Amino acid sequence: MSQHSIPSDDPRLTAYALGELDPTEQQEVERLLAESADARSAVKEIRELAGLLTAELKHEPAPALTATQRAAILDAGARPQEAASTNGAVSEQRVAALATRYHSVAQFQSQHSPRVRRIAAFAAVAALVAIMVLLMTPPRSGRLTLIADNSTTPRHSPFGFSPPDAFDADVAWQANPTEEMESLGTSLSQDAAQSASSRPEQLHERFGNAPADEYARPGGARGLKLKDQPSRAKAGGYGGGGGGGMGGGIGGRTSGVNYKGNASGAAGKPADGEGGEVDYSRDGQKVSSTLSKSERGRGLAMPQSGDGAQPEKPAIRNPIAETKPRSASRASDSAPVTSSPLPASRSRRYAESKSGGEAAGQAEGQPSVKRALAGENRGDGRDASGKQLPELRHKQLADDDAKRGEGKGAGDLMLFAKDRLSNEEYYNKLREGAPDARDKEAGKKINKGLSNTFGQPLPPFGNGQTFESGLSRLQGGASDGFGMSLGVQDSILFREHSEGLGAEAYAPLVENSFLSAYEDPLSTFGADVDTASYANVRRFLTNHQLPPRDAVRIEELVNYFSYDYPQPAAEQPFSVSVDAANCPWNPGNKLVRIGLKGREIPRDKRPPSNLVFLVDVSGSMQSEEKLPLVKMGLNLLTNQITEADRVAIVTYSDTAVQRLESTDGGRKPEIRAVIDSLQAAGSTNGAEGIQLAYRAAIDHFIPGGTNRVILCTDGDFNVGVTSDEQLVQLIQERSRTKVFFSVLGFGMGNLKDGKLEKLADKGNGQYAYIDGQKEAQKVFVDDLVGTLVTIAKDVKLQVEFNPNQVNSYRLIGYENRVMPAADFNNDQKDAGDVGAGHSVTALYEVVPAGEAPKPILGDALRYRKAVVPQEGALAQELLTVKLRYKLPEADASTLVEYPVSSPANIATVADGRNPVAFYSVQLNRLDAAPAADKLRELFEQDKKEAPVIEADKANRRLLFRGTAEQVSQGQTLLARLGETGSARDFNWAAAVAAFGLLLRDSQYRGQASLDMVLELATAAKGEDPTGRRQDFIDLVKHTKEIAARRSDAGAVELLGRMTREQREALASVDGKYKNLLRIVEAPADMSTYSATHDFGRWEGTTYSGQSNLPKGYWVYIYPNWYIWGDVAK
Amino acid sequence: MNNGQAVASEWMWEILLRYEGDLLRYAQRIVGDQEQARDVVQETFLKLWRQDRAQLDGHLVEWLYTVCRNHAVDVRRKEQRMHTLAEESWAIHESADPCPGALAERRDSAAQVLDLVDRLPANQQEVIRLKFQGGLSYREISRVTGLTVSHVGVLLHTGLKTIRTKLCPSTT
Repeated sequence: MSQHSIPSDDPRLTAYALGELDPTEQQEVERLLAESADARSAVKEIRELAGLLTAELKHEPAPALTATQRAAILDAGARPQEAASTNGAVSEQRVAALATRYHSVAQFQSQHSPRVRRIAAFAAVAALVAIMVLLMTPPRSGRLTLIADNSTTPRHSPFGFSPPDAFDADVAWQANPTEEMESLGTSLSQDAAQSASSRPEQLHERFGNAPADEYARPGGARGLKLKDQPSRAKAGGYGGGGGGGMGGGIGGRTSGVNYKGNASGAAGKPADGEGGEVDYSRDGQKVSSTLSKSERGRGLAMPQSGDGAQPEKPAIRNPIAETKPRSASRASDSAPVTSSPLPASRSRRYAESKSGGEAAGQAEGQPSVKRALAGENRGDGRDASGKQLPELRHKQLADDDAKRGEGKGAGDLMLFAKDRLSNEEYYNKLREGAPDARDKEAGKKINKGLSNTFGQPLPPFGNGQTFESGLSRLQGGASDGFGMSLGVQDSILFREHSEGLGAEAYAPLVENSFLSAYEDPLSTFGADVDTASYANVRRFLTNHQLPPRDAVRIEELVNYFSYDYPQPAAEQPFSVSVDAANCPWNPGNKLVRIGLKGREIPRDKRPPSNLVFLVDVSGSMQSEEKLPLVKMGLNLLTNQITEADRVAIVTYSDTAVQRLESTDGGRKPEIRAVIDSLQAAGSTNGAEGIQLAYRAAIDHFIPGGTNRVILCTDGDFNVGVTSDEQLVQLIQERSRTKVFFSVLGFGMGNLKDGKLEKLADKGNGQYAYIDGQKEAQKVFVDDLVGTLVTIAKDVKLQVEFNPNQVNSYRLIGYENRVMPAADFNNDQKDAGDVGAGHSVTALYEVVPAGEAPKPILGDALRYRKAVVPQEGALAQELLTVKLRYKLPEADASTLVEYPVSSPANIATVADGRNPVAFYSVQLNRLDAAPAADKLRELFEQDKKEAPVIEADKANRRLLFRGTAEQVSQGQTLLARLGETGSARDFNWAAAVAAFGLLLRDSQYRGQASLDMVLELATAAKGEDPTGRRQDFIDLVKHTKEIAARRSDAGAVELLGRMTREQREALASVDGKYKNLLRIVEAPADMSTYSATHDFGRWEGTTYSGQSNLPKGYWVYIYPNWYIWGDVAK
Repeated sequence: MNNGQAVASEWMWEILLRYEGDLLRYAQRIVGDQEQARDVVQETFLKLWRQDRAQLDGHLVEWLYTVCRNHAVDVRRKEQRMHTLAEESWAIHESADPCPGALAERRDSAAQVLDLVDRLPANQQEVIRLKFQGGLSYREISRVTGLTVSHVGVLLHTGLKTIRTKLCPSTT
């Protein structure tokens, strides 16, 4: 072959491939191509690469001019003679007008022609409007939090819009018949797909009350500090993405209304992952919490009765007094333990979608890390010259988010009507229009015993029917805790919601189910002293929303409060207490509480601390409830530290900078100066920050003291060179340096809860969420020592249940922390850390054993005996608690074991008449025998019949057995003796746990209701010096209100979807009435009668502005009264 | 605003939207500092209004990039004594990614591509961005940068080749 005149590696090939070749050379190149396959493939590759580059470069995060700059440009353009000035003042309206137009026009940055663009823009906008209409219709289960209400500003409103509110009248009325939705559905799915690619933020701008003042700042580009744009932008970002996500959902909706069963409804049975069903009906009769149908009949529902087999006093071992670690585990125990098939540890997953786009771009500014790491203490370039960066990040953020497909949030969608009413305003309007002359008390008939999830009475009918059953029958589906039927669209919305509000991200939790003590006697989990979930839940509730299910971690709710556990013995880091009593929400079951208390360290004995504050100062931290709160907390902390402590401050945004070298705590003014100077701007490069912070901590390591990096962030590492997994790995690696790592979460709307929790966990630290000043006070002042000083790390618990006493058990909470049994002894496996004075409480719901333990799965095992004969003390043990922990600077763990004896025979058959209550309590101050004697005396004095009181001397425990009143009286009297702690604390923990179960809408909630929670909590409040318990009680009351509103809201939405015939059928109260005479419109009556009400006979003839009404039977189905002539026979 | 102005504003909006991001990216590469880049771009647009629209027709993009580049280089020269981040980001730099093997773990070749682009020498990178991000032709690029067309070709060719080679192992 002839020689190639052009080598393959020649720029001309590239030029050819890109279509840029000079025509004169065309011929030569083409000849080459004809001859050489290499050349051809090279050209092909180049073209492919070109395509890839074009695509990727288009998606590079694009910065943007500030709004002011834009305004200046346009203004100059309008008046070219003034174009020279960049500092032209711009009038407010012009700017706002421009801004709006800009955003509404800026739909597509693509190459579409203007007309196409406008049509597409309009279509997308219409689509999104429709989507929002549909989304706004309040949902069934009260789980969904909806859109933001722009009109009122409740307590926390840093974004300039108020958080979502449950009920919206305007929209509910509009969300109507299915035909409309069907036609919408198809167009929506198309448009949604399109709109997902558009710049989403303008929807926010368009539909929300964009605060005009944001744009109104005169002056040039410099020296500006805009208000919190990023979070608004994020909201907008999810509007668009939400459109995309919803497209599929809406499509589903149009296929008619199907309902799925729900665990709480009669029809639904939860599919229990571990085998066995748990049926908690709520009709008040069936209370069985048994595991299979066959067992139900055996009356295990009733707690233990008298003692056929009351043996001699059980030999008792002293779980608490044992201070020597016991190395050998008891191999000869009740059941063969080694190979029990425990559920695999439920590993957490991040709820966020993949961060493919994160790798892109933003590599600028990295080199400063080198200098920063070298220890130079320079500010980032901006601060050094005193400039502040104006920030308009919403485009960038929105792009990032749209890229990552996170646009699923129902919560952040903005309203489209500017004259939207807030909840309060709506109700006020209703009340104005309420009718008079009607006896409300007489009119209300409430069916007792029937209530929804939160214990709210369901809208009643006569005949003991409820709206719930009537509807179900009408629509052939089961309903949920709020009495609302479920539909496909609801399940989609529910799923959307449970992933968090908009940009928030929660790791999904699957609740622990009941496990058989016979098959899985070992329950292993890591201790958790995080309190973030409680503060986070509190934040949602205070903003009138129900928190997403996955935001509720019950163990963190319970652990938020302090309990009166006994102090550990002298050299021990921990004390362990075990209590048991009847389970309030499942009377047949017991609740076992295991309490771990860490040694307290008085403030003045606190070891010196070497602290590094790693503060996220990226743009998203600008809002009120973030950086300012961080600063406040840090200032609070600064007040507390001494010369022996050292503080350093590292900030990170685009780059990491050490703002304060490790300074001793005596030089407070210096420290405060740096804290006050912190400003937020830029993107978030978390990895650099972490590196630098650890370096700073290691450089000033205090052996024997506390060395800790405290990260303050909203968790939104939205741009960076590292993925989440890499960050976690980084932390894990760093944790080997014996520097601890705590995480403080701030803010809302983009809180990355799941990620933060994981970081804290891997870093040997705690995760707390600071939602306000009070919490900052708690974390930085009240609990300072606990926050700073870790007394043990990698704390694990393993509980072994005795299958002869316990049929099955369920660990409440700790879903993120459960681990396989084998990991308990494996020191390589991380677990939680416990700070000084912290207590860890774990609750188990336990089903006592029946006559013989029966395996859940149905068949007895062939090679393992069902009942292992036990003698003596062993037979009396309920469970054994094993504890492993590492001292802060140790690498090997220590094991402690505490067998806990149970009262004889907690498993019994009910006698039906007098359910027997039992209560086993750990004494903190008194000794067992004298306490028992005193109690018996007290009972005599009060002339009351005492329950049986047994004293477990060695363990300092008492056991009561008797009727419920006797036991409760015993608790009261015990309180009189000064042993207030245990009983009250137990009830408090139970109340909080029940609340958590309700918030999670747990299938295991049994008979729990908000009223029950209130009852328990109010009784158990105690002295409450910090006021936190009262706050909890207030929170529960608040939740009741929210739930009540949702109940109505859900009903309204459901009614809205029904046809006229269906509504009339409903109004006849399932055929109770016939002969419809009249329909009277009265939407306002819902405030009096709730969504449905069977009033009965009324003789009046004038109502709601109408006269000459027929007398008859009045039934209210929102928004009308139906007047029936006759009662059907 | 009168009609004529309104129409002009419309046009301005569109231009602004269309090119703002690209120009900002481009300018930032040169000056390094985001804020300065914004100033540069703002100046560019302000200059645009003073031009006769008819004159620019068909050359708008090129004009924008040229003016932007000139400004940016000016700014950079002035700021050089401050030894800001500009220098570093303009030069080749390795990612300070701490995690070992991070690159290897990235299976997403698309992300890799961008990363590889970032690692190219400045002039190659500029040309690649102008071509694929800005959509300019060789000639336009040559006018904007002041290099000859063949120099542009060589730069592009080399840059692409580097990227292709590095991508090859993962793209079988």
